[in-house]
Amino acid sequence: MNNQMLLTGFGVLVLVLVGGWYWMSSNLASTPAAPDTVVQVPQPQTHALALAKRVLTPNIVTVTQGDQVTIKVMSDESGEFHISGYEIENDMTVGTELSFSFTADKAGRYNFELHPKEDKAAFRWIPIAEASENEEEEGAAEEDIVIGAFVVNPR
Amino acid sequence: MRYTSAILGVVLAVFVPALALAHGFGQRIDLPVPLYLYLFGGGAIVALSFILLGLVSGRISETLYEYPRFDLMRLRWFRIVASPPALLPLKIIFVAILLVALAGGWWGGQNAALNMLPVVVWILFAIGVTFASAFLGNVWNVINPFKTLYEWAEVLFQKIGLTWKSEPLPASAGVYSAILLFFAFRWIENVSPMSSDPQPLVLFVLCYALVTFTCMAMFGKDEWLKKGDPFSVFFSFLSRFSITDAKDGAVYVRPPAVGLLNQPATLSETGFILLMLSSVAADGMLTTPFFQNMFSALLSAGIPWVLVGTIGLASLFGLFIVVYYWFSFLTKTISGDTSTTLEVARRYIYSLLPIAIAYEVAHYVSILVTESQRLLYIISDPFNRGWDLFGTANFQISYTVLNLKTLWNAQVGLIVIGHVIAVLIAHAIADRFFKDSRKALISQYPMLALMIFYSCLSLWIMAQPIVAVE
Repeated sequence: MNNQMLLTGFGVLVLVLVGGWYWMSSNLASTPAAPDTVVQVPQPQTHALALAKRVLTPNIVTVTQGDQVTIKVMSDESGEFHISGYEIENDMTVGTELSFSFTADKAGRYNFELHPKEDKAAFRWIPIAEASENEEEEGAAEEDIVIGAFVVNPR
Repeated sequence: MRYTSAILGVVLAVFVPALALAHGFGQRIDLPVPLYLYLFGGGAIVALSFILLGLVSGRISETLYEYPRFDLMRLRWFRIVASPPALLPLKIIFVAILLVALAGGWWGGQNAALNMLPVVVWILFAIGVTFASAFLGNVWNVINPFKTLYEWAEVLFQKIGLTWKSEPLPASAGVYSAILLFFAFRWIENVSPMSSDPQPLVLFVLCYALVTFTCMAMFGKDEWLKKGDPFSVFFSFLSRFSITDAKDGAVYVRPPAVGLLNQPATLSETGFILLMLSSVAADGMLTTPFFQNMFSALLSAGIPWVLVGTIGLASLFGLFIVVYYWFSFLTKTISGDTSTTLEVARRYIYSLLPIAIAYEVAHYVSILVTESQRLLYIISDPFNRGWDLFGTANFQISYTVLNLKTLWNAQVGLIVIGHVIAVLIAHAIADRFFKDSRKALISQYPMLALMIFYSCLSLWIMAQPIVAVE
C-alpha cells in the first residue's frame, strides 16, 4: 500500500510539473503572435525557387500564416506550377521567371506540383486500357508531380 | 559529391510519387505536433501511468468487468430500424457505391483527384469504416457490399436449383489467411506505387472480390467472414472497443473499451492484432525523416522501392512480434506466473488496441475531414464527362475546416486518453487473472513500460516533420 501511495504521489508531482510547463510553453508560443495580430503587419516574403530536371531547390518553403508571399520560379521545363490546396496555378515558360504573390491565409502543408506540358511517359505508370480519350482531354496537363512543399505555420 | 547528389536527386524524382503517397491516397495538410506539446504528451503519459498504478485497485477492475449494458432490441423503434426490410435500402446504397466507384475507376478520368474510386477505397472505406467500427460498432457486418452481393447471388442460384455444400475451415486455420490478406492490403496502401491509380485499383478490388466470393462459396459465407476475410476480421476486432455489441440477435449498448476484457485471443488472433498495430503505425512512420533517409540511401544503392517497401513493412511487423513477445516474457517472469509466454501474450494483446485506435484517429482525422470533401464534386461527375448531376461539380475542398492548433491538442489528447484506457484494461485483466492485487500490480510493470513506449512512439511519429520529398 505504501508503494502505491508513493507511485501516485510521484505521478501527481510529474503531472503538475508537466502541466505547468505546458501552460508556460503554450503561453510562450502564443505571446509573440499576440502583438502581431494586434498590429496586423504581415511580413512580406520573397522566395526564389529553381526547377531543374524536375528537382525543385529549395523544395520546402516555410512561412507563417498571414504572410504576404511572393514566389519566383525559374524552370528548365514548360508547364504549370501549382500550389495544391491553395489552388494557385501559373504557367511557366523556359527562360522566363515566373513571379506571383498571394497571402498565405491557410495554415498547413501544401504541395508544390508540376503539371508538365508534354507527356513524359517514363515518369508515369501507363494505365492498361490507355484510352485515346485521355489524350484528347487535357492529356499531359492532368499529370501531377509533387516537387516540393509549402509549409504555413499557424499564427 | 556534386554528382552523387545529382544522381540522388534524379533517383528521388523518379521515386517521389511512391514516397509521397505513403498512404494509399490523399494529401495531408497537417503539420507535425510542436515540440512542447510532444514533450507534454510524453510527460503526461508517464505521470498518468504512475497515478493509475497507484490508484487502480481490484475494486475498479471488478467494476470494469461488471459494466452496465442495455439491449437496444428492447426498444420498438430500434427493432424496426434494425429489421431486414429496413436495412435493405442501406445495403443497396453500399452496393451501388461500390459498383459506381468501380465503373468510374475503369471508365472515368485517370487523375486520382477527380476519380471516385480512390476516395471511396482509401478515405471512406479504409478510414471512415475503420473509425465507425472502433466507435459505433461492427457496421461493416451490415453494409459490406461483397456480402450483400453474395447473398443475392445465393438466392438466385437457389431459385435455379444450383446448390453446393461448403466445408468449414479447419480449426487450425485460425485467422492466418486474414493475416496474409491484410498484409497484402497494407502493402497496396503503403508500398504499391499504383495505390491511387484508378484502373489498377479496380483490378485490386476485383481480385479481392474474386478471392472473397470463391472462399465464401468454399468455406461458407459466415465462416469465411469470421475467419478469413481480412476486413471483416479487422473491423470486428476494432468493434470490441466500440459502444455496441451485437450477438445472438441482441444489440447491447455498453461503455467503450470494456469489450476488450474478453477471453484471451487465440495465437493467430494475437498475430492479426500485432499486424494491425504495426500497420497502423506504418503509414506515419514511413514518412518520417528517419525512414525516408534510410529509404533514399537504399534506393540510391540501386535496390528497387518495391523491395525496400515490402521488407520495411514486413520487418516492422516482425519487430512488433519480437518486442511484444519479449515484454510478455518479462511479464510472465516478473510475476512468477506459471503460464507460458504465449499464454501471457494472448491474454494482454487486446489491451494494446486502445493506443492503436487513438493513434489511428489522431493520424487520419485530418485527411478524413479534408479528402472526403472530394466526393462532393466527384458524385456530380463520376465518369469525368463534364456532367453536373447535383450542381456540386465545381466544389472546392475547404482546408480551413481544420484548425491546426486545435488538431495538435486533440492529437496529443487522444494518445494520452488511449494510453490511460489501455493501462486500465491491462490492469483489469491482470486483476481478474491473479485474484491478488499485489501480484497483479507487479505483473503490470513490463506491460506498462511497453505501453509507455508504444504511446510515446505514436507521439513521436506525429511530432516528426512529414517528409515526402527531400
